[in-house]
This record gives sequence, C-alpha cells and structure tokens, in this order.
Amino acid sequence: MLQDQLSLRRERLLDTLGKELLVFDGAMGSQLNIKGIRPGERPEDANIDHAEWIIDIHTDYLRSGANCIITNTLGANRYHLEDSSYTVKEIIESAIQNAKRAIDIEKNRCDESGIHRDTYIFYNIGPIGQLLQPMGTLSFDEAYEMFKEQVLIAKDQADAVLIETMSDTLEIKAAILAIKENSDMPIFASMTFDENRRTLTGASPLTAVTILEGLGVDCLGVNCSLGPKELEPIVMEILSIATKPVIVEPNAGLPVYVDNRTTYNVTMDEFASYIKRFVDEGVSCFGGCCGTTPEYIRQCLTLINDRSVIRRPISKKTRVSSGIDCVTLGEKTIVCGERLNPTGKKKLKEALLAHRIDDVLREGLAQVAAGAHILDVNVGVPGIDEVSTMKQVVCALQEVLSVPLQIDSSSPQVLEEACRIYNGKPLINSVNGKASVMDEVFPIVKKYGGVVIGLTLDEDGIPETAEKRIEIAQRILKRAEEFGIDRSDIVIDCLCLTVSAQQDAAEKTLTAISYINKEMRLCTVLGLSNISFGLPNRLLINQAYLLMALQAGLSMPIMNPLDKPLMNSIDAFEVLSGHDASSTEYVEKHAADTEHVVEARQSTAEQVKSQTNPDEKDCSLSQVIISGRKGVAVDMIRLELSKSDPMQIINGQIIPALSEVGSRYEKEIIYLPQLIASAETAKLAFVEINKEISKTQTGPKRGPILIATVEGDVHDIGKNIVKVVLESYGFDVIDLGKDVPVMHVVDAFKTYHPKLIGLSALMTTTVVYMEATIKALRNEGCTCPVMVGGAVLTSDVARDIGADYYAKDAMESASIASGLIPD
Amino acid sequence: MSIKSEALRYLGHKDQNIPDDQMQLMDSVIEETLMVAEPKTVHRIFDIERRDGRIVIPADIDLNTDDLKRLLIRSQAVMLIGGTLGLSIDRKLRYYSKTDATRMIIMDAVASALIEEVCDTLQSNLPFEHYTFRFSPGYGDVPLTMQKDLLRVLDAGRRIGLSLTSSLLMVPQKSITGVVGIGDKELNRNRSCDGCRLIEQCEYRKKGTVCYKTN
Repeated sequence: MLQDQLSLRRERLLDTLGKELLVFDGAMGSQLNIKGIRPGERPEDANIDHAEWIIDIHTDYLRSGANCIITNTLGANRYHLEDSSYTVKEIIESAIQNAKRAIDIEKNRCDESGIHRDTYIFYNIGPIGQLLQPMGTLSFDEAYEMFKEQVLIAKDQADAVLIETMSDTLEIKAAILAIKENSDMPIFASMTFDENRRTLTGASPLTAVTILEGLGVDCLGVNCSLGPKELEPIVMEILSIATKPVIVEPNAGLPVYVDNRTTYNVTMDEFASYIKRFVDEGVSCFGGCCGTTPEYIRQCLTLINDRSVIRRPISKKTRVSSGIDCVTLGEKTIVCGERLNPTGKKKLKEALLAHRIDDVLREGLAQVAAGAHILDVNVGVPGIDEVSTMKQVVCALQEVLSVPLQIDSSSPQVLEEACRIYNGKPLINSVNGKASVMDEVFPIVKKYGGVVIGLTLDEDGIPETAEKRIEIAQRILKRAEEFGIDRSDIVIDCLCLTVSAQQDAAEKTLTAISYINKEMRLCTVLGLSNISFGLPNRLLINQAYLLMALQAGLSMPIMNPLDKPLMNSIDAFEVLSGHDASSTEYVEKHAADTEHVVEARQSTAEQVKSQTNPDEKDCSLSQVIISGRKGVAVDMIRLELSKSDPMQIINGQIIPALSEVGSRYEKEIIYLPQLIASAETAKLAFVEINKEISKTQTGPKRGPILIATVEGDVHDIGKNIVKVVLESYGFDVIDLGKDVPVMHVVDAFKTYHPKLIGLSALMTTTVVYMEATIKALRNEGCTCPVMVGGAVLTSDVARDIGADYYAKDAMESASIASGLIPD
Repeated sequence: MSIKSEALRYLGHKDQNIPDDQMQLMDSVIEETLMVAEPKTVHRIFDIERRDGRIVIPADIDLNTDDLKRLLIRSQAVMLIGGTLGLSIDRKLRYYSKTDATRMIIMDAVASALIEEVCDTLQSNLPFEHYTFRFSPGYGDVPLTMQKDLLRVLDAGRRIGLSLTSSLLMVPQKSITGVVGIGDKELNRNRSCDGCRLIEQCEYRKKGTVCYKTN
C-alpha cells in the first residue's frame, strides 16, 4: 500500500520533470552554521542531536517556495561517519524522518490556507571523501558497497535520490549503479566543476553529460563550487548537449571568511537574476548550494512567472569517453588503435600471460603518441583469465592515458565486468546479427551506457552482398532499440574481406558503408588491415582503401596508428573533406615536411656523430651513457652491435660506464636527475642487446627482481627510481605497482620465483603493511631475500620488520642486487 | 627563493655542475609543471582562547600537543591551511613514470617546490604581519590522524579536492596541510629538526642541509 503510494509519487515526479519547473531548496550546511554548528563538526549528526534545527531549515525552505527538499545526508556514508556516535542507519532514518516532519508541518499550514502543492523528498548522496583507485586507494567495489548501504536504507522512504557535489566520474558511476541495482528511485545526478570548466578529476561538462546520460539518470546538472556567474558558461554548455532535463544549484558566490564566519559574495538579487536566465534557457530544476538561504529561493521565484520548462531540441550524437576526454564520432575522422590485441603478436601474448602490464602499457602509450584517439583493448590469449586481465589492463591504461577505450572481447562476461569498472562511456567491441549474441550483449550496453559496434554478420556468416550486410545492420539497430538503446549508441562495422581472395569484396564493403552512413545515419567503423592480406606492400593497399572508405563515409578506421603513411593520408583527407577548418591541424603537423621526405636516411653512425657533442673526443656508447643522452642511445647501441659481441658491449662499455656514473654520483659530481638519465640510457641499451641475444640464444636474464610499493601507499616515485636503476644494470625487474595488496606480493612470489624482492613505503602508517607483507611471504615459506626502502625506514626498522636488507637509495639497491644476483 | 633553486635542493643538488642540456630539461619541466598544475588553497583563521594552559579555538579540532602549543605560544590567532596542485600533476607524474623517469623525478621535485610556494604566496597576500612557520601533521608530536580533523574543518574535500586515503596519505599527492600561528609580535619563523623522527638517518642533514626552506 505504502509502496504503491511511493511508486505513484515517483511516476508523478518523473512526469513533472522536464515539463514543469522543480524548485529545490538552498544550502543546509550554511544554515546549520548559523544555528550553531562549528566548523569541522559533522552536519549529519545534527539529524539526531538537533532534529528541531533540521526540521526548521526544511520548513523554511518549503515556505520559501521549494517543492523538493533534500535530506541532510550528503556525508551519510560509512567512511564519513566512522567517528560518529551514530550508525549510518540511524542517521539516514532520522534525516528522512526530519524531512517528512517538515512536510507534514507545512502541509497542515497549507491545508488551513487552502494551498496545495506536490512536495518531494530527495535522499541526498555526496562523495565518500576518499578518492577511488587509481589516484586514490578506494576500490570501485568498496565505493559501490558504501552507496548500496545508503540506498537500501533510503529506498522505501525517499521519493528520489539526488547525487550531488561529485567530481569523480567513476565514483558517481558507482553511486548510480548502486541505486539502479538496488532500488526504483529516480536519479538526479549533479557534478561540480571549477573555473577551468573541469571537475577536480578532470572531466569536462561534455564528458560528464556523456557518461551520466549513458548511465540513464533522469536528470543531470551542476552544483556547488562556484557562484552563478562563474557557472554560467558551464550551464550553457550542458544545456547545449544534454538531452535529459538539467538541474542547477549554484553557490551564493565564493566564500569569504569574516570573524570566524563564512559568508558569500553574491546577493540574492544577483543570484535570482542568473537563475531566471538559466530557466529561460531551459533548465528544468534549480536550487541553491553553499551560502544560499530561503530568501534566495523566494527571490528567484518572484522573478519567474511561468513555471513551464522551455523545450530544447537536442539531437543525440555518438560519443564515447574516458573519465576525462570525450570523442564524438561522425564529425572528424577518429582513429582507433588496433595494436593492443595479442592475435599474431608473440611478445604481447607473453606479456599478457606473465601479467607484465608495463609492456602492455607501452603498446598503448606508443599508439596514443602516434595520434590514436581511441584504443582497442583485447586480451584474449588461450589459457588466460580474461576477465581479471582485461580489468587489470583497462585500469592500468586509464591511469596514464585519457583516451577512451574500446573493450574488445567475444565473451559477454568480460565485456560486462570491464564495462562495470571502466571510467567513462566505453566503446564495446562487439555485437553482431546473431540473435543469441544480441540478447547477451545489448543488456550490457544498456546498463553501463556504452556505444556498441555491430558487426554485419550473423548465424550464416558474413554475407557476400552489400544488401545482406545492410539488412543485418538494420536488424541490429531494431533489436537494440527494443532494448531501449538509442540509435546514436550503435555503430556498424561492415567488415572488410581480403581483396586478393575476392576482388569485388572491397567494393561491396564500401557500398554498405555508404548506405549505412547516408540512409541509416549511423556511424561506421572498419578494421582495415584484412584487405591487403596476401599481397606485397600491404601498406600501399591499406592506404588506398582507407581513403576510399573515408570517402564512402567511414567514421572510424581501426588501424595501426604507427603506420605513418596511413596517418598522413587521414591528415590530408581531413583537409580535402573540409573537416580540418583552414587546414589548421594539417599545417601544424606537416609544416616541417620537406619535399623529399623519403630521402635516404643518413647512415646511423653519421647521425649519432652529428648529434654528439663535438667537444667530446670519445664518442662511444659509454660516453653516451655517462652523459645520459637517451635520444641517441638506440642508434648508438645498434652501431655497436654491428661491430661487437653483445657480452663484450655489456662488460666493456655499459658496466664500466655505469660504475663511473655511480662513482660520480657518490662523489657529488653529478646529481640525481643525471644519474637517472644515465640509467635510462643504459636501460635502452640493454633492451636492444636483449633483442639481439634472444635472436641467437635464450640466455637466462639477471633476476627476476620483484618490486612493489606496499598496500595503502600511493607514493611510488622512489620505487620507480629504483626500478630504472636496477634495469640499467640489466636486471629483469617485475614491477607490481603501488598500493599492492599483501597477498598480491605473495602470489607474484609464487608465480615469478624472484631472486630478490624489493618493497617500498613512505609513511609510518604504511610501514605496517610492509611488515605484514614480509610476514605473509615468510609464512608461505618464502626464503627469497627482501630488501626495503622509503623515507621513514632505517636499518633498525628494516631489521625489526623482518627485512634482510635496507637500501638507503637506488644506488644501494643496485649494489645489494648485484651482490645477490651474479651476472 | 625560486622554485628552481628549491627543486634543485630537493633533488640533492649541492654544487655539482649541471650541464646545459640538464638545465634546459629543468626549465622545460618547470614550464610544464606550471602549465599542468591546478593550484588551489583553502584556509580558515580562528582566534585563540587560552583556558588553563590549553588552546581553544571555535572549531572541532584539538591543537593541544606540546609542539603545537610551543609553536602558538605567542600567537593571537591560528590559521589552518590546505593547498594542493590537483590531480593533473599526479596524472602527469604517473605518465612520466612509464615513459621518462628523468622527467618524472624532476617534476616530482618541482611540484613539491611549487606547492610550498603556492602556500607561501597565499600567506604573504594576507594582511598579517607575523606568522610562525607552517607545522604539518606527521611532524614532531602532531599525529597524522590530525589530518582528518584539519581537512574536515577546512572542508578541503569539497573546496579544493584534497582527501585522505585510509592510511592517512593525502591525495592528490602534491598537497600540504598546516597549522600557522598569527600574531602582532615577531613569531617563531624558524623551523628546526628538533622532534623530527628522521633526525638520525636524514639524508639532507648528512649532506649538511635541511628538508625545509630556510629564511
């Protein structure tokens, strides 16, 4: 019965939303400060300690004309309430009770005066107060659980939920999923931006809107951090792209502290005039954040005569994003890098199987440096745990890169789990015309708000004709729409066959692309390289076909961005097709091209000589290492390898150079960055030498050495320095990263059988995890020596926590390692 | 003192001759750091009341440790301060940790120098004549757990995006919190190594310097 009433109220709310203006309340915290809460006191405790204050504040807002009131629960999560004397449940229940009481009081008053208005209680969710991985240490699942705990308490009592003041797109995603998976509450989601129009974690308004709409919130917008004037450009941008209703709750300007009190610098008249402007531009809901009072809300309403929401016709575009950057398909040509796929790549396959994530990352970094806008990620290797590997690779890529990812797997489970933890709106690769595949993949696309690639094949394989492929595309689109997926979230891959086998196949693919682009108005993608299989000079064929496909309307080739001629062709196409306005980008990239780009390169040796300081008589590999000239290292080592035996180079040049560098550092002739530059140079030399050695023999590498920054610790600069220095001595280093859980180190020990384990910790609070890690290793029978280092460690502490060695710096770690692991 | 000389000090530079290419690298990293960083600060000032030898301020934080009482002995007010360069620098450092370790360590030092500078600038723009030095939780007898209270009083999460991990590490990493005494008389501006738990093994002291900026 009560449940029915609640559903009816929710229906009514959603029915009103976007048609009639919803008026939210103003600040809670600032009002509580006036009532007597001191800075630093937890406002949520007041729900119980001073219930009458909260009821008063709600009532005041209702009287000022607000019809949506927000519970005093912004920080009512387990982390924030850790030191509170009340439980999460007690706080949330009393907060909602306070809101209900206020509505009852106001209703009685209105009944007497004969006025009737619908009022709604919004359960308020705010940020947890800890940053999620990879920047912080809170896991996605932990965040999800904290939100879920709140949702389960509020779901049968509040009319809807308002998520506010969020700056992390991944955290708001965890909150939205927790609400959607555990309740039927309508979701209003608002983020906070600063004056450079980004959230604190770097999301632009476009990125935020793209992600929130993908996740299917009912209303989205912006609150807090700035006054209405500074928010105006952000509000206007959101209004120009959002297809969902928009909510705006500015601060009353910026805070000013006077006499131990916080005041704000925007008057209620000024505030109201901005709100009026936002409403005239199509905002559906407004309220106030920090510093606003009931008078601010009242003042806004005196300026707004017509409460119907202005309609904004916005057409949806095909967009994918990371947590930072957003890419729109169907405008300029978007390049998706194809190389993070182990098919046919032995090295990548090995790196994935051995969980050597840095080697995998390198493949991604290189493609982005070469101009990829999106990266395809496929980790499908026989025998691999594809789910956990995919999650690990996605996280590692998102930590250092801001391009959107294309999650590529034939397993729906892999797609689902990767989409869940992915920060942003993912591109999902792929679905096809098979009914069973569509039924498995579309729910994932819908739930996690992705864009999906539809391959034009079905139970009968890849059709030969363009018409049949178009038919499949139509079937995919129709079925997707039945799942509630917008057509803008479908892109089609018309599939490219080998032209040497079927010569007319090239043309058929183009016909299908052209039709789907023009008639169905869907974006298309195409994996290019198949076309040239079996032909000489494949790049030439690929280049020509790329241009033909772009001309037919292809939005996104999936290709190798390291193939310069392909990238150059795209640059030219963008000029000729009018996408590159005034040829700006083309000129920027190609102004330095000479007429004879393909002129034979100078011989390697000459090149190295010309880049070497003429003052140095001895232009040798060891000199290059000592002076840390990374830029010429690779050419130099290749030159040496053409003349000498690898071992001779190591013993005759690299090792002496490194010991010279070490001694110069100890004597304070050079300083740390020079030491590191030399180490990086030597490391590059070793990489080349190892390539050479592995051609002829498979000699055992020196090591491996396992290194990690311990659980709870995110400061890994020191560990990274140690890694580079160890690698410069030719050690095989397996870097487990930072904030590495105790058991991960134990598992890695079992997997890699290291000769030495290096652990780093920066703070006294994290040295305890270092001790726990060593203990766990010993409990598993690990007799491998453990070396520790970090700011707060001493040889005494090292001994006390059971470590075998204490390294005061990177140089010392290298000498410890050299003593333990002979050449 | 310039960011460059401070960064050099963090990097352990004494009087080594730095070759031109290394100096250019340093300059380019400084330029990049200034471009990437998104410095933000928040501060609150509270009058100090003294009751039975205890410091009382109108905020939910207890400043009564021996070191802080000594710091604030002649101050009339106390400023709590938080500053951060934001996550963009963290992200850049992560990026360089995978691509260019030399640039990574230089940027790490430059960013540390910059955040100190940002907080110094904030203080010098406020209308007070005399400050003590900035005392941060984790030093002397001030427990790291005070970070939690400090950040809550400053509302630092919401205002400048400064948060803690469960091991009480600050995120973003290039962040500072501090307690500063304010008064109308000359105050204790000089920091010392007394009470530092690292005094025995300090690499700075071994090299004849200290880890903090000297006046």
